[in-house]
Amino acid sequence: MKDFFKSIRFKILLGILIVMAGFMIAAVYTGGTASLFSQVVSIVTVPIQRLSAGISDNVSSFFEQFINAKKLNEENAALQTEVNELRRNLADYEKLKHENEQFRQIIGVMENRQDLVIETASVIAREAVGRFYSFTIDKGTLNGVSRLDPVMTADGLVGYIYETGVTYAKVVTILDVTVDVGVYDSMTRDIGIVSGTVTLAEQGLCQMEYLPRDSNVARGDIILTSGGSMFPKDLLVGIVSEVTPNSHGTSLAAVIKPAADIAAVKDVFVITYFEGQGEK
Amino acid sequence: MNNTKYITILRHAVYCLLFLILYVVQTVPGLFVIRGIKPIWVIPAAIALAMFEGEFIGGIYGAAAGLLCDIGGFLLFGFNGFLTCVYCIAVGLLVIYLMRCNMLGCMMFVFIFMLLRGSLEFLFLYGMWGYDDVWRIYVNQTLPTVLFSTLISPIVFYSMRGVFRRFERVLKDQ
Repeated sequence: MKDFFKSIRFKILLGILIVMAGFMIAAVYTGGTASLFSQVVSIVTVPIQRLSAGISDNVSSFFEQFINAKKLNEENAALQTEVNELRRNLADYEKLKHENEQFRQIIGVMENRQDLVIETASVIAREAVGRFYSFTIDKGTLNGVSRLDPVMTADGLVGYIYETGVTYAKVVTILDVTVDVGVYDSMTRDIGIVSGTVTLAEQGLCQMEYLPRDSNVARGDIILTSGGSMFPKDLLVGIVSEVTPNSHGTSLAAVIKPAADIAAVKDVFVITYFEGQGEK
Repeated sequence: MNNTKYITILRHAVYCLLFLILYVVQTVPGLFVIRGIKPIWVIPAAIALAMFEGEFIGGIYGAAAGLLCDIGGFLLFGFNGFLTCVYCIAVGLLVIYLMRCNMLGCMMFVFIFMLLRGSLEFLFLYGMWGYDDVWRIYVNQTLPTVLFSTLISPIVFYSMRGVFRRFERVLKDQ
């Protein structure tokens, strides 16, 4: 053993450990920019990951139809019940008409948003110990993706870019406890903050906090981003599924079901520019 | 270049390729996922390699495996690299001087390291920030990942042993 500590091999290993410590110190200073090592490795791994993710998607979709036959039957029955319920709800024509108009407004807003510059991307990696469904996409600084750019799907907001490499970027989701998104209720116009909690994230849900105590926010309300330097205005975040008073009783909190299926998302859009975006 | 050097280069090329494949397997969405839990493949591979190749090669591949985990992780880049490098050096030395190189030993090494690494990661990412119900992450995510990674370690151990023995045989025949 003593020989090992005197050997040249030990000195080389010590050198490697010093380099690792150097990486950590560098990471503190560079913040959201990936290290040189990960940039170099990503040039090799990203194309392979992209290919593997594509193959994995196709193979799993093929087998899922057989594996999930029972589940699909159950889902079918549940959907049938839902359809019946919706048919009953048709009687409430005025309400539906009003909701429909609001949906049209949202779609119209999105269609008329000339200020949004969008980059499409695919999910290529999800870590084993992923932080609140965080993932890696196959676009990076080469494609104009920057730190803090909003990430969404056709269904709604997913999160934002946490770290960028040349050919990849890491995304944190709105289920993360550290993420705060300024939002408003499209029905009542009440504003609040959407963020994650550990318990809700397990069910794929998040929370809208700081709603006024006298707010009329109700189940089924549509939640949109209120805009600012980080997220453009009127991006669909989700639907209110429950409203409860907070622990102190001073305000209300709403449980939000995100419009995007964050746990299973495969393709996303990165908003690389919007009017009013913070300095990059 | 003589044959021994050529075989050594080829051996390390195969190790690198194996690590790359395991990294892709580890990160590809939807692959080997049970109830949302995925195992870590590259760290058991580095530990197994340290058991066969000793502390020097083990330490280098340990650092590389840790850095691969750092790429997708949320802790400081280099944290896993540092930790895995030190652990693989220790594993290499333990197998040389004290312990036997077998599958059960590998599982034990993997379990201890994954538990240590998972606990530290949990502490730095969640524990010390005092989020509500944070223990749920440790119970529902960290511990199952530790167990899952330990359970897949025999596959990695025998794969690494296969490659190691094959090249040892070729080198002996030289």
